[in-house]
Amino acid sequence: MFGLTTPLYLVGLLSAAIPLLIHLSRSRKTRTLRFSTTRFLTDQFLRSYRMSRLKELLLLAARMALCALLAMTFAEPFFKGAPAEGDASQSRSVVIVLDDSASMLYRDADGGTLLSRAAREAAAVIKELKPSDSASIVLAGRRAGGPLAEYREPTTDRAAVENSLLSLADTANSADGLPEALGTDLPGSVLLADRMLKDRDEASHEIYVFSDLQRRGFSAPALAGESEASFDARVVFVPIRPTAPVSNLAITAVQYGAVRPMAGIPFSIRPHIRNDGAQPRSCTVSLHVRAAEGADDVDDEGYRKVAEQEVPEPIESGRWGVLTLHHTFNDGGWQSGYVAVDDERLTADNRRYFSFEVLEAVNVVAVNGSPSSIRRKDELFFLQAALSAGGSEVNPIEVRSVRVNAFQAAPLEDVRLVVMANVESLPEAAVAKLERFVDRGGSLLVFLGNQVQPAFYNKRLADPSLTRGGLLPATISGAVPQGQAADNATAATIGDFSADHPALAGFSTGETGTLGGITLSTYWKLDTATTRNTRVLMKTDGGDPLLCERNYGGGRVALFASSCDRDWTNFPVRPAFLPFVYRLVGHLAQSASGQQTDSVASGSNFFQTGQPLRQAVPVGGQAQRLRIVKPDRSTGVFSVSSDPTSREVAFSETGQPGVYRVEAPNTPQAGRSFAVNLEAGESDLVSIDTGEGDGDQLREILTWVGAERLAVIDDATQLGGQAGIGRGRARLWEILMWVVLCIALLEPALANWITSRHYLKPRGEPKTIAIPTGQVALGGDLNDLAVARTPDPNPTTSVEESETVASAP
Amino acid sequence: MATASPTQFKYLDPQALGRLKNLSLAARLVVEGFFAGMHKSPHRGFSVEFAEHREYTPGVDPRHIDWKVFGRRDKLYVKQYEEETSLRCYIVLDKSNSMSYGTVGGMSKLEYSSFLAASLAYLVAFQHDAVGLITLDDEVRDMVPPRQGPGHLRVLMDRLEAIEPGGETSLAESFHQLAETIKRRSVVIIISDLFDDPDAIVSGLKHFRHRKHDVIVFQTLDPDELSFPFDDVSRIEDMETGREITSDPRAFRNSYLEELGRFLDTLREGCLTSHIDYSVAETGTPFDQFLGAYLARRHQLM
Repeated sequence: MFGLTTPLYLVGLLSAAIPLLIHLSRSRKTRTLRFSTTRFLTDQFLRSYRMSRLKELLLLAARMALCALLAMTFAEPFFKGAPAEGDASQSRSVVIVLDDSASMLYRDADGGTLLSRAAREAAAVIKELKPSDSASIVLAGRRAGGPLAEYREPTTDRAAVENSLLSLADTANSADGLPEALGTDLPGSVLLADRMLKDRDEASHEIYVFSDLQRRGFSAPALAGESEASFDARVVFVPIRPTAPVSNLAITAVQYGAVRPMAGIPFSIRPHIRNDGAQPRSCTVSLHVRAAEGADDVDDEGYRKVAEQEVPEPIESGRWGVLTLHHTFNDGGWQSGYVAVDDERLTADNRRYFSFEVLEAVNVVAVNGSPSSIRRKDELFFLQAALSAGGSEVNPIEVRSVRVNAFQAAPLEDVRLVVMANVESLPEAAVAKLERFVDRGGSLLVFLGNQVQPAFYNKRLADPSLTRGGLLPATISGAVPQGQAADNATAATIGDFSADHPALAGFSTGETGTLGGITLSTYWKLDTATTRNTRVLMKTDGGDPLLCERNYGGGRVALFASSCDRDWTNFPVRPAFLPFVYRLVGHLAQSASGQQTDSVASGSNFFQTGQPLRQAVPVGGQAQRLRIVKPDRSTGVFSVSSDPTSREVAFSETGQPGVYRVEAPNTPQAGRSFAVNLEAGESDLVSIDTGEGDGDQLREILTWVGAERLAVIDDATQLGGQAGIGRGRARLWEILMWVVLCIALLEPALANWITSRHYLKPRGEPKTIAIPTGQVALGGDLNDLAVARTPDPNPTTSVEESETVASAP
Repeated sequence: MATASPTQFKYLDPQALGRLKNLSLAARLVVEGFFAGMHKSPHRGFSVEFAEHREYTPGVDPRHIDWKVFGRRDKLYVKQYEEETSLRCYIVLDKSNSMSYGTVGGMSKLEYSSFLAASLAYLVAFQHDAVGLITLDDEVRDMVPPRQGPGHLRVLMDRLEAIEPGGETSLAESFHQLAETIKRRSVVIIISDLFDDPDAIVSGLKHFRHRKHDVIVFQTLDPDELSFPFDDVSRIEDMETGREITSDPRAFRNSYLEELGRFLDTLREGCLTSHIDYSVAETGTPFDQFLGAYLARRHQLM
């Protein structure tokens, strides 16, 4: 099969048209002459001319071929032979692709791990190589930098390769620590192995893949563009399967009762246990929480078991079992832990880590824009009433009301949320204070009202030219609000709202009542066209935004288009107001840690292994100081994102599952932690369908390998028969280069031969024909007659005439 | 008294004459110019032969009354004489298509040849000799038998002016045919480009010689035909046969000139061995100048 290494150079084929164009442009200038006779252009001449035309065409063809072949040479064509009969005597270059993902740590019936077995079988393949053969190892685990090659180029030091495989087999069996990579990227590894072999001179290029062939291991999406033409090694898959029926339990997901637990309140944790084994199994699930320094009964990582529960009935094969554990966090601050299931065969997927910030109390500062001595007329009356429902003993939310002019002096250190209710405008210093507060992780909730000055809000709080585009998620359009407060007519009711938002989800299910019956007599029309990343959470029945939200630095800002008292709406006296306000305030207060939306779930602290942790940098903050402690207690540093406008740092060394703690004293991030868990798919030990020796599904996924170069050998002892089957590519461009060279050398000779015959020769002095002068000779008798007739009467005239003739040109 | 010098004809260049479009005038200008200042022609070789008697009518010169007949018949008769010429001259003009080629001053070879023929006719008539005209291409097209007198000359001029080019050159056969047709010994002046098989032409000319005719050949050729100065021509169409040849211009030229040289050599040598007066009339040369030079040379030889 022919292929091109760099087909882009085929564009150069167009250069073949250049000689043709020159030739045609010369031929175009034909001029036809009507001439008296063509009798002097003989057939012989025409024959020789046709020959010369033929030679010219030959020259043209040579020149075109020269250009075209040169372009072809640059495109580097090659010939890929079909896999030949095994010939172990020819030179070989072998790459071992070893799947070192978590699933390979499954302990087989004999107690050894699959990885250990794979490494030993791979070592046996290396042992078979001849001294001149070369070998390398690629570890197929999913890593941030792609699959890992032990040797950049295949090496002839077979002993080193073999030893490295054997030592890997030993460490895999001991299984003290997990390998760094926990996902699998088999296609990427095979491709890397092929790239490594591409420039090898050995006759046979072979790739041996030792893997449990987990279905999950083939899900890497980045290889869609690969084509069969560029691939030319022989790939032998050696499935490493458990010898006995599989038995594995895994916690694949955990549901938590709330985004953020409150201190002193029981918190529910619901782990999902999946049985990936062949038999139904029962099991015990335990909850472990990080213990204080020096506490008793802690494990190696510093966690203490706080709860344990057995699954009520055995989980069927391929099914989930769910149970609920409860734990009450007594202290506030960042808490972490894990849920574990007891399973010996594959330990890597037995734990799911978590990390929360437990809230002790939420302090809210409410800026009152329209205070009144009559309590019911006070702007904040309904809000305060709703938030303090149940009394301060069970309610962690504490609202402190301040006037507009007192806000500047109000301390915000322990405050999670600032509420602005019908505030006319704020002084410049107060705005700056508010911006700093939200940027560093606080949240802001804005209710509008009749006091509001749209000009101030639009210019100072929501202008695109401001830092991060201003605080507000929307601008206020129009100088007067929609509807009139005076006539109490209904201007709007509540229309669509975002059902998946934590603050509003209850209204879609009916759990917290409905939003029906709520009417708005007046509201400000909001415009989200110029603001960035705004989420419209609630709309009026007319489609106008009613509640908008956006992130600002480390915090969030929400904007409600109407008032929080009864002036403009009947919402405060409806039953839905209490859960609405409570959840909205709780949501805003809990989200203060500033997670970016591209995390696993918005606002959560949960990541998968290999996924980078992201953290917004406060304006004026120092990104370099954010050090992070990994689960194995080694440390790393957040690195600044390459995009300077994003103002965020990222940490990508998240290969280990566990809890990562930020170590940044004296910053709001101090003590913050992230939970990183194994990709759930690794627990699924079901291997890909390799067909009955055909590798059906395998070939479907790896189309770019080519069906005839792919083999699946279940019995590792048969691998010797595969030796020498893979055939490397034959480089055609070297031959082409010689052809080009030959033509290039011949071309001047050919050109010279043609032009010297047909062009150079006539270029001498133009040949002219001597005009034959009239040879005057009359016939014999006529001469006599003439003489007789003219006896030269006047000799003088004759002389003169002859002179005249002589002088005539 | 000096003979005519070529500078005297400077106003009679072919282009100027061509513009006259009047052959008789042109010919007269040429010939009289040529003879201007010479002694009057001696009019030798003229004899007066009795033709017949005619009844006398008043007004006729009484010198010609035949008194002997009056004595016998008692009636007045006058003698009629037939003027006899010593020279019969045929001008054979080739009017084939190839003769219509011409580049000098827009004048074709045929026009040049016509002027030449007209001048020669005038010249012969001027000497009171009989002159006839034959035009031919692939066969004899028109034949005016030689006569004497100004009226006949006018007929010839009219015929010459009326010639339209056409047909292929196939001279050799026509020559044989003519040689058989012309019974009396004559001077045959052939004006043609002779673009035919040279050996066949020479054989045709020899036939004239065999019949004791005096043969003069003027081969009219355009300067282009002699030098082939075209460097940018890549296709040539034959005016007679329509044959088209495509080639490289430089390859054309070399081959053409070689073949042309061979052709002219064959003709010249053939004419020389048969005592045929052969001249190439290049149309670039003013024909009065050519004619003057030719006549002078011929005269010198005589």
